Amino acid sequence: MIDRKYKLKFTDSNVHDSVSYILVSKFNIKPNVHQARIDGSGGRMILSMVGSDSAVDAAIEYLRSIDISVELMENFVKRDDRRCIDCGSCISVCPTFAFELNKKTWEVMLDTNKCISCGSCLSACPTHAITLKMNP
Amino acid sequence: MIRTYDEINERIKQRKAVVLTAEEVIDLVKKKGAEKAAEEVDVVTTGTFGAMCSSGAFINFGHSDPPLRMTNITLNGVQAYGGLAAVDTYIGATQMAERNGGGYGGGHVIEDLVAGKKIHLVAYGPGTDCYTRKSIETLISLDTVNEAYMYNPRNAYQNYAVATNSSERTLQTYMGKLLPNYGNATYSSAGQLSPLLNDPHLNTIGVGTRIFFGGGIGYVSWQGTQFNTQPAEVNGVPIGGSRTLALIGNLRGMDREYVRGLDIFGYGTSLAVGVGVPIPILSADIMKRCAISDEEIFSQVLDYGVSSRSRPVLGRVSYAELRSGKIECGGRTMRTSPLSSYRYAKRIAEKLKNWIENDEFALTIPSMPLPGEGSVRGLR
Ligand code: SF4
Ligand code: SF4
Repeated sequence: MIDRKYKLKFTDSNVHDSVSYILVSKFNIKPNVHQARIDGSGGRMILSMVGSDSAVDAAIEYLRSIDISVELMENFVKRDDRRCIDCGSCISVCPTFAFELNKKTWEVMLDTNKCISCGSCLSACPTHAITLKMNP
Repeated sequence: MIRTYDEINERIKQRKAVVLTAEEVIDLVKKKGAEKAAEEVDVVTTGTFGAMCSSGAFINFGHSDPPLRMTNITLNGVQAYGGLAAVDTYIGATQMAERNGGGYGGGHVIEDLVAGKKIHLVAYGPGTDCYTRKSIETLISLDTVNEAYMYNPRNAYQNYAVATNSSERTLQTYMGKLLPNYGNATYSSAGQLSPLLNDPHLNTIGVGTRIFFGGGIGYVSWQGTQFNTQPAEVNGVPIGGSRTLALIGNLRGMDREYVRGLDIFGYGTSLAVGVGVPIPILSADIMKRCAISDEEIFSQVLDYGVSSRSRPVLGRVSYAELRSGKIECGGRTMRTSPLSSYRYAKRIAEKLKNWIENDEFALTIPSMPLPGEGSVRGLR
């Protein structure tokens, strides 16, 4: 089983396809949509797919065949630990709970896998410790 | 009185002083009671590390040849005060660089100085008979200047409000990023580790109290601005911003780790300063107050969505709730962000404890108590 996040880009020709339905019915994948900005002319969606390796590979291949661009989202958010002062300003502004206060060390932990690259934490951090890989 | 300052310092010299942090002492007092704990413990150390906007530093640059009376001064593009004697200045934490891009201000200049970096000084003057020169552009550093000391008119706030936002847009405030529709809540006190919450009526902290300041040594120089004894108390500590300290200390000897320039988006620049105050256990009552825990310290949740000097109070929460990551207030659940670093606060209390245990830091007797009363006026 793998659980990974992907960024999908639609064009006006495939924006009407129901991606979630296809993933569930055709590939037995559990999709979880984190963010979707879509209108009649296309758009983008951030979703995670939970399923077996082969199913996810097959699903990606299928989506690409109908001209939906699929990009694995990994390490989109980065934190410079030399700048971070563990103030925690970022914690409550993250929609996916990527930051967490370690109750033993009081360190602010960042789980980069949870990041959906929304940018909300950037303007919360007073030390410019957080950077995001730019959206292409 | 169980022991005197002199007795404590004597024990420090003999490396026999028993020192605990304000966190460690909580369990001890729970187990043994304040009387018994007070007999065992000589000093309790506290700590806090967060944005302290009312901070800055005095610098004397030394005279150039021929000399210049500086009236317009910038340090790395950040304006410093030009209304003191010829080569004296004060640089404030919230003064922002004039160049575009932003994100750099007086707090960062002070951090860079402490880090030993070279700072770009540009200064102009009118040119007088005694100061003939009219301008200078040069590099200075902590090694080249005469004096450089931090003087912060208001630090170490005794408690502070919790901020949330009822409005429909995101607010970028000095209390951090506040999401719309009560989307989150932010708080800034170190709670059970915070210096002034452990000696709430300032029985031991006064003018001349020696402290941990920015990684070096500093002193309480006066009451802080907006010193206020009016807020209501619960469990013997105020539930809102109240007493404050004015602090002074040499930039030389400070550590960049505990002196950090901040850029609070949408608000401006500031400075995070590490402050740790030792509390001598002179009586069981002082011990009891040092043992206060986050469960017993409360703060009021204020609505920063309403732009007014007196913001609506939405409720009251404890620091234990705040630190859990979410609070319940007015029928809503809100996620929380601390703003000040508890990790650093703890590190500061531990460092100060180490200094005292190793005879690197002796306590001072205050030369004057801070006021027993104070209130804050508004501006009409
Ligand atoms: S960009 Fe920041 S706030 Fe947004 S999901 Fe990633 S970590 Fe969370
Ligand atoms: S807001 Fe920035 S400095 Fe503060 S804990 Fe988060 S990453 Fe670290």
